Amino acid sequence: MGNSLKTKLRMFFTFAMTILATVLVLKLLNWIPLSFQKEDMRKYKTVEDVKTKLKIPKIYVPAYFPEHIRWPPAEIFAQKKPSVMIIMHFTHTDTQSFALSIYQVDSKAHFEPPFRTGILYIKKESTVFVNGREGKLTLAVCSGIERCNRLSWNEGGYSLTLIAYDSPENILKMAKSML
Amino acid sequence: MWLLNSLSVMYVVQTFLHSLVAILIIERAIRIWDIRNPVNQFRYRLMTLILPISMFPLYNLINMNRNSMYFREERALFNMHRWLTVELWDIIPVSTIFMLLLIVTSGVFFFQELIPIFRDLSARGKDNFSDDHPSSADIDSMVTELSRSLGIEKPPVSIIDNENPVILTAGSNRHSIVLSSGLIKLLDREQLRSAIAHELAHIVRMSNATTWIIFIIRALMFFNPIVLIVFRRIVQDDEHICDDITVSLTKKPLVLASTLKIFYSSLYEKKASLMGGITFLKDGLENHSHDLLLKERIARLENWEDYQGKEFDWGRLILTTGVIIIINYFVV
Repeated sequence: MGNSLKTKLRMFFTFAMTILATVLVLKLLNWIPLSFQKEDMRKYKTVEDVKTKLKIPKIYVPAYFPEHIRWPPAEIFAQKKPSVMIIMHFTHTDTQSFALSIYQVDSKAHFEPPFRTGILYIKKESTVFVNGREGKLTLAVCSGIERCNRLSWNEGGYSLTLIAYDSPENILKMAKSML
Repeated sequence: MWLLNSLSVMYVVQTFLHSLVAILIIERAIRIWDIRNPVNQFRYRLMTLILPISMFPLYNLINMNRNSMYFREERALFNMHRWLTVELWDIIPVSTIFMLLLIVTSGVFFFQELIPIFRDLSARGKDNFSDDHPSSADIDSMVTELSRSLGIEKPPVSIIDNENPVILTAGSNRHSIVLSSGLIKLLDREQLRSAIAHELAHIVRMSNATTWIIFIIRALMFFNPIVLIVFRRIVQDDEHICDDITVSLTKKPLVLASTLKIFYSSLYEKKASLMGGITFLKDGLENHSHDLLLKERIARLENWEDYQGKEFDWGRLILTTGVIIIINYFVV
């Protein structure tokens, strides 16, 4: 009886070790491409980090932020290969929950920034002008959030997109301050 | 880049990854849990086929953002996009190598599995296994006795004029056993009994119908090299199961082993008579894999172990499956 219990325990321990090893190998394999692909998508601490490490001279950041959005960005992801893409996420000052995403993507990359949470339906789509450039404003309803609006336009060879749980007026104001 | 974000490409890539994780864990689990009974091995390996085909849509139902960049970069244990955008020595994209692997696997499926099946089906359409000889009274009584022991209705038996040793079960719903005159000449009474018992075991297990269902799953993942390996392993498990049923009836594993040796040596004779060229290579490869299967079966029967009565632990299968489902959720 003692031996059988010992055998069972040994089996479960070996199984647990196998699972642990699988997870570690997966994590290692996930890290390897990053170690030699310095310009692939990864997380950065600051906007300056992205500028210096990826040698991207122009990063578009709004000069205007509504009071409820916290500066600096909570998360920054960026890549140079296969095409330039910079993603910044901002949170609310008080709740720390998601407030705004800014995408700066090479306009030739054919990348459509996704809504952070699943989109339920689009209420309205309209054309707006951001500093003289034509842009598309999408007013949408996402799961759990009443307002998840998106504004996209092209500037300096990039496609710029703002996705925010905010009013269209605030989004447009932020977009116009991005120089 | 945009192609990697399309749902169909994600499905192909993730199905491959999920099969890989599943096969690694399941094969290891079979060893850890000391599963030697082929029926139980069959159940475990079936998971390697069933899970990957359904995981991607299931995960997407649970979390619509699972394919998003946030999930891939922040939460995933493994993100294949990172590898697919790598260029080896700045010349060879890993995505091209991966595509080639899928194309070769698809080629193997079409040329080695799908076309032979259609060729076989059309040949069977013409050949209705008519009785070249009426089955002898001895064979008939053997089939009646074995069918009764297995609790099934006695299937019709046909004997065809063919010098090669051939025995097969025809039909997936209404079964019949087909024997060649060459086989009857080559085998003694005990060996013939074992061979017939093996075919009856396939009828009991509804092997033809089961194999068809498994084959459909395999066909849906024709591009997946892991599924190619697993499918062949499952077919092999089915043969082992039928061998065990045979031995439970005849109580003579060595007789079945000696019967298989006759098929093995007959394959060698066939190989020796093959001409050169591509036909030789193709047939040679097919015969080689068939040889390996026969060899493994013979070795297993010569060191036969009785698995009957050993209870299956469903808890361990559920645990193993659960772990695979959880890990694969984070593999994108």
